[in-house]
Amino acid sequence: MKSSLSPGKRIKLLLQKINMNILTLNPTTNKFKFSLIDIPSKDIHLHGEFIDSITPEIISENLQSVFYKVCNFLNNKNHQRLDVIVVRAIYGGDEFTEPTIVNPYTINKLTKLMPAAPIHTPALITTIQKCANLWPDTPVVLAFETSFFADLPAREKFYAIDTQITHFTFARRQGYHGLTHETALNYVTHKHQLWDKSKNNGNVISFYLGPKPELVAIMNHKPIMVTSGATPLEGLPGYTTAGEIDPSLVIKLASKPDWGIEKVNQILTQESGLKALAETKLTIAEIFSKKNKKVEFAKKYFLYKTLQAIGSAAACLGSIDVIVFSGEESNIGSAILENLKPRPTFLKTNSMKKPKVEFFNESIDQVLAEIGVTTLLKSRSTLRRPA
Amino acid sequence: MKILVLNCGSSSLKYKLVQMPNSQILAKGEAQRVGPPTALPSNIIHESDNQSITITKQMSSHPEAFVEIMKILNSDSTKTPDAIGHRIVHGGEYFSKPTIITDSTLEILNKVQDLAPIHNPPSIKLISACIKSYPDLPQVAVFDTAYHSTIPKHAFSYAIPKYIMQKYGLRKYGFHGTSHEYVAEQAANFLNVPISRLNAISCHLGSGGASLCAIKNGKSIDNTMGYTPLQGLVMSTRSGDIDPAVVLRLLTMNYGNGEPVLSLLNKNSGILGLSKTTSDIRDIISCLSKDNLPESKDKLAVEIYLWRLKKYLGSYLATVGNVKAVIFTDTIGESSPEVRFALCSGMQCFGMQIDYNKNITLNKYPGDVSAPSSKIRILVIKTDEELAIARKTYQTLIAKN
Repeated sequence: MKSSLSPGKRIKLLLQKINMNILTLNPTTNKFKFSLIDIPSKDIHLHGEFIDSITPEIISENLQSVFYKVCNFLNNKNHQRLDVIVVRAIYGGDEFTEPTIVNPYTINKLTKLMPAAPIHTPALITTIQKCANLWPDTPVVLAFETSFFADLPAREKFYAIDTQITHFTFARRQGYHGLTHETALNYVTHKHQLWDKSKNNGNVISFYLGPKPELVAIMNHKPIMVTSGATPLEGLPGYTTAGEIDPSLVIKLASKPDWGIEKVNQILTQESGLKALAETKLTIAEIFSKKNKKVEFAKKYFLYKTLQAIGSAAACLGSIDVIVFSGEESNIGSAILENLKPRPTFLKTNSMKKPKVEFFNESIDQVLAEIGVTTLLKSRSTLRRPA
Repeated sequence: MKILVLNCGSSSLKYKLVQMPNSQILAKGEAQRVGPPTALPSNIIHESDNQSITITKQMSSHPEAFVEIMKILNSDSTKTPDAIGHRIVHGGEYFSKPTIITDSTLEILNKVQDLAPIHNPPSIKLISACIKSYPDLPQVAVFDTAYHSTIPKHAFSYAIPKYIMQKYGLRKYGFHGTSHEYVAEQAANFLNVPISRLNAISCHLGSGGASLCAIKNGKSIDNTMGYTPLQGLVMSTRSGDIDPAVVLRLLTMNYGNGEPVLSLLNKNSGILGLSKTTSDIRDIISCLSKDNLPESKDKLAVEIYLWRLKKYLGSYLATVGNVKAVIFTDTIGESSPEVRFALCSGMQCFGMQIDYNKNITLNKYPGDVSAPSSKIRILVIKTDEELAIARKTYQTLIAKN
């Protein structure tokens, strides 16, 4: 019986039978979030965040206090133990193409990411070292947002620039919400039996809705197109990120006296996107709920770029079987689809093969917890396999 | 009325003498290597009455080339122009239709010089020279950007702070408008629908620049090029779209100096940057049909070129909705069945299907290469920017009188 199941399905079944406590850690540029989550229920028992710059000292202090909170909670719960710690990493480059259980060589490998992710990588290393200090017997899993895109086809990965430049990893396209896309994909794969190749129904559009929205076209469980670029700046407009613009415009602005590279970067990443369009800070949900002329314009702009991204994805896939929305604003997905004008023929109700629309509502912390446990189970089954 | 159409390149001056209103070509030619002396001397290749002559003479500027061209034309009394039509690449926000050139037009033109630093300055110098030597000859400026003046605000804006866009006049302008408009009209004729009801995607795939135009009810509603012709598709030597953060990184590598980065993205990228051997996709497109070919630079260049095109075609098909025709034009669009086939295959969700044989054997223009079951017609139409400019010049002058 067992052998007839796909490895993914087997792990899915295992997940229902075990009971684990998982600590998820999510260090971003100016925030450090943590959650204590129970598997299989995915209930979040503890949750908190520190808003501060992520220097090694601040991370160490914060983790110390997380340690006390977690110990307290687990002690009060019949002295249960912490089974695994999962740390979210924004960038894994070519070095990390799947979630990794931290071992003595990991830090060395991580330092290679320093040039590409100079702020995030040191924070990651401090986090891992401090965890090893506080919980010496608990495995730590590193989960990378970029891993899902490791095998992005070359035609999508590379820009059309001099091969001397495409050689650099900083100039290659990838996605930045891979953990959520992958877990959302697993969710729809099981719900709609997309692994059954005889049904030829594995074309999925996965749309992450949050501060930096990202749309991915997935064929046979692999991403083939993503709206983000070498960074999350390219693609769809975000809360404060510009999305696609003419490259000459970037050069023109940076060359102006009293502008310069830093200022352009700050404007394009912090002052642009929906914030610039509506002239006030907005979420995606708010472009639908707030009513005034400027917000209307932001809505029109966002829906227009979204329609174009869906059109691109449809051209890449040839047909669409499932559209899945995820991210903290996943619930706004229906409003987005309903408001697309003109309505793409392949989304019309009378269309022969109308795609199924799904919503994946789990938070990144729940996603991390599942990935942590799955990674641990996979490694154990590999270890147990006879030589 | 005989209209002389002048089309300024960075180092060339193309011209065509067109009899209007019957659109008969009386003479045409090109002055080459205009500017500082190069390894080969500058010359004019002139064709008329089925004869071709070559005149070799150093021409250090476009106005000098114009003087030589007029000498040739004036030597035959049946070839003296009655009016001049100029192609201007970038009219900025000031020109939404062909405009008769006066002193005040020239003043505004001077303001938009920098928007197209390679193309606009020689055109403007040429116009001044024409006014000086032929003050009585009516002249009309026809703008590549004019057709795109109907692009709505949400499509021409960038999502950056408003004060920056206003201060520097930053927005999408779009290019190749004269060509997109011309082939759209041809397509409407061919399909026998009024242009005001034509929904189409025009693919102007040149051997140099390339852009797609989304056309709704005969009007441009979007173009893949942006503030400059650098944005959008992968071109012969231009990169097209690229992450702004990568551009900033390249600037940092060049100590903040914009020139080398602009030059890299405009002159050493695209097909040339990837293949290292050619800037013409037709030289390497054959590697597509060789399945067992190992991964190579050429194959990657072709795949990246086609993939970007496909993404934009899908994007515009969704944007326009209820599309009647996809139009292929200009050098690559007209002469590469491989590009057309690769682009139109696998687009079943848009109801689009190309006919393999019709596409390969096409020898009549305009031609329809779509399969009978296709809901979208796939048309191949020869563009003729000079003829389009002659027509617009004529219409503008007639309307004035």
